[in-house]
Amino acid sequence: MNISINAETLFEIGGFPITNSMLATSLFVIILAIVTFIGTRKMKSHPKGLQNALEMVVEMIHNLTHNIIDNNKVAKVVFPLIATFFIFIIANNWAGLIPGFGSIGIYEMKEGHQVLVPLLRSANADLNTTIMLALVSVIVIQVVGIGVIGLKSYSKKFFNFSSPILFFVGILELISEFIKIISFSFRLFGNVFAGEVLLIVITALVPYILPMPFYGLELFVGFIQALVFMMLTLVFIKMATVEAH
Amino acid sequence: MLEALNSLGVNYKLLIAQLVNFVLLFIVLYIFLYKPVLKMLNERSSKVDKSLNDADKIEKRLVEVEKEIDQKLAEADKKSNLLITEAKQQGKLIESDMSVEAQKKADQIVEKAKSEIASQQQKMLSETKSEIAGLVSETIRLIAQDKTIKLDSKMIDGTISKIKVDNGNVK
Repeated sequence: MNISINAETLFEIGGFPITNSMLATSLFVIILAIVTFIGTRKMKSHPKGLQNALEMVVEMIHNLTHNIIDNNKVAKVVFPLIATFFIFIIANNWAGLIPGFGSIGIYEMKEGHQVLVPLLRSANADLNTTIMLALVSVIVIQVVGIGVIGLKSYSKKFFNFSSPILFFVGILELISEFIKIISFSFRLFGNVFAGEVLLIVITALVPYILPMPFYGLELFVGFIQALVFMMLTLVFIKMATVEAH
Repeated sequence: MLEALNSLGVNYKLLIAQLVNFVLLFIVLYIFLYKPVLKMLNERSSKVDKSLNDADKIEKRLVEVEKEIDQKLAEADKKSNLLITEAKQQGKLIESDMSVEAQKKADQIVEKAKSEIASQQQKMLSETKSEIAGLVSETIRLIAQDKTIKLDSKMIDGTISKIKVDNGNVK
């Protein structure tokens, strides 16, 4: 049993490391592109099968975005990003549960031990991915906030000199913006990585039947984490578009 | 801080690579998923709105048409009632006219019949009388030819002519 907190490098192209999580992410970008292309190739007004499922997902996220943001213009702009967050996270979380992820790989010698380096690793079990997602989310929150209420009003949230208390609150707000990156990235990474470790341990202890409920649990966790990331981004965007009092 | 991140496998190159993957997925989903699906959803919702508006319009029109039908039915009812009363009145008039005329005709027929009967009666009477006169004269002639009875021929002719004259007066 080999548990690594880092994504393992499989090979390098011109000094650029290609990790197993990156490979899995690229693979799922291609799979999602194919699935969505097939599903929306011939759109019918009475949807069936894949088109129906895709419409359901898009409509659910679309309605959620419009309900939370409560501003059609902003909701229309941020919807594609919010939906991509949800689809990217849920697809990669559930991909990690597919048999072969983490178990098919190459044996390499590390520190005198022969260890299995998996070919594929869930993207969200790699901090690089979750930090990237958190950075995109936080940057978009700032950009939308500035775009909607203006730079002056938006900066007033962090730099308010009207009273010492508000100044202190502003500093706290500023720190919280940076903390968002850490909370976003480590929450997602922690949940997904912990889930994978849990499954590896349970499967190593009792290979049959017992891991099944844990797989069910991980499916649920995968969905919840995608939903939480999406909802928090939406709520933070909504908060950023409200002027400070 | 950076060391801690490095020990967790954070590498700016990998971060950028994952960002590229994310952006690619964003573009792919935007083109193949969000755009067509949102277009379809908008089309469908506009279709639903249009159908609902049409249904409202149809419902209103239906109410109007029902009102019109009721109005027209009431008008037709009035007209038909009027026509029926007029027809009844006219019928009565025609009936009375016809009965008067029929009475006239019947009277005429009766009159005609009566006059015909009278003329026939007269004709028959005169014919009978002349026949009787013929018979009488014949009888007298036969009697006169009998040798046992001797009568004056002058008296006979006189009697016959008298009878004829009488007959003529009867006429």
